[in-house]
Amino acid sequence: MDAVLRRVGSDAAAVASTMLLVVLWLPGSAMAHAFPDHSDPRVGHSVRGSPSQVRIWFDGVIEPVFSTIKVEDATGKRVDRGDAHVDPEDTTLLEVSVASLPAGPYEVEWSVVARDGHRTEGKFPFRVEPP
Amino acid sequence: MRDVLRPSGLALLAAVLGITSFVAFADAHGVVGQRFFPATLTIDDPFVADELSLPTVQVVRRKKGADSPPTWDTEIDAELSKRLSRRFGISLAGSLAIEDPKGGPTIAGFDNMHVAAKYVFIQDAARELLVSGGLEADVGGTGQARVEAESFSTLVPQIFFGKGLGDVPASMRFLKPLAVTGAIGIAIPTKEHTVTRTVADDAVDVERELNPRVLEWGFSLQYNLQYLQSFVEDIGLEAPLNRMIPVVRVVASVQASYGSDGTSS
Repeated sequence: MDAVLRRVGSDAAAVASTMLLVVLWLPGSAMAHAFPDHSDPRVGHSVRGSPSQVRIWFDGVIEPVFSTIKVEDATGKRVDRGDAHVDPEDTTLLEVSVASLPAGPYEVEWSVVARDGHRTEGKFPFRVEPP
Repeated sequence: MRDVLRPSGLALLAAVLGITSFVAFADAHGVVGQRFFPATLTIDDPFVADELSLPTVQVVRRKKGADSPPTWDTEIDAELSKRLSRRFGISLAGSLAIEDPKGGPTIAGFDNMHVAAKYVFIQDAARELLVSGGLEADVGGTGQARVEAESFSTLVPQIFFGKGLGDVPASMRFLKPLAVTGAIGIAIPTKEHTVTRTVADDAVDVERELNPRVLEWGFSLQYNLQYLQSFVEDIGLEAPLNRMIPVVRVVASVQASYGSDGTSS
């Protein structure tokens, strides 16, 4: 244990300068791909009564041909109507209609390709409460 | 002869800038499954990328030493990274160092050029896990002596990792946006000692300075608010908060080898 700790990068000036750059740069890096901006139903929230469709708005234009969305119940059974599409009027919006959903937890799984050609994917939960 | 052949730091930086004109559409990567690992400035990323970092500025105040006054050290870096396949990438970096000692003249010059290669061994989307290995070389003699650029090369084999906590149980869902990235490596100088000979009063002083091996490590903790909003629970954050990733970084190095330092006449 002759080793000596020579330098720990905790210098306040260095941290301050680099943290500022990190804060300024990270949003730009992330925006190179398409990520969800918001959704309906909201991520992790409950809705009273079955929604008629699930919609996700992304932070950039997505490619209709390569973008998919599906909804599954707690058993993994698919409950959407299989009509996933990108709204031609708003090419940041991916949506799919669903059958009348009984109360319970559901999971939305999506995959999109942004205009820069990069794919992103993800899933999120929501819950249907009795009306 | 060696001075004639030595490329100047300015030329290296110009080369970096020239190459970047061919990568106008390069962008950041670091997405594994639904996890986005952002690039951090002092810890190298676990992923390979088409990426230009220009400039990265670091300002550090060095305290007064036994033989040196307090000094402001400024480092302006540029790095170009290029993927050659999905898992293999290379990078080239240059650095302008500016030393501003209290009561003394400011010294500026280019440090040695860095070249590196990296390969991603594990990329597991379900576990949000990345593990890669790489070799970095500080190429001796490519920088300028006035900023103490070494005349010898240093090789740094490294292991990098990134792990998101997206796979923790739903009962701990607010931990899911958390991720850790890190790197560990050992800097191995290609020359164990630097020998300096000076002639004074008809005597030759020989000074041997040890170039130690240094264990370098660091990690970052990240809480991804975008991940929270998009995949766990929409808590109503608005832009720009819903795109931010607060990062805490720890970087350290430990001298890992010892030898004989000394002066003889």
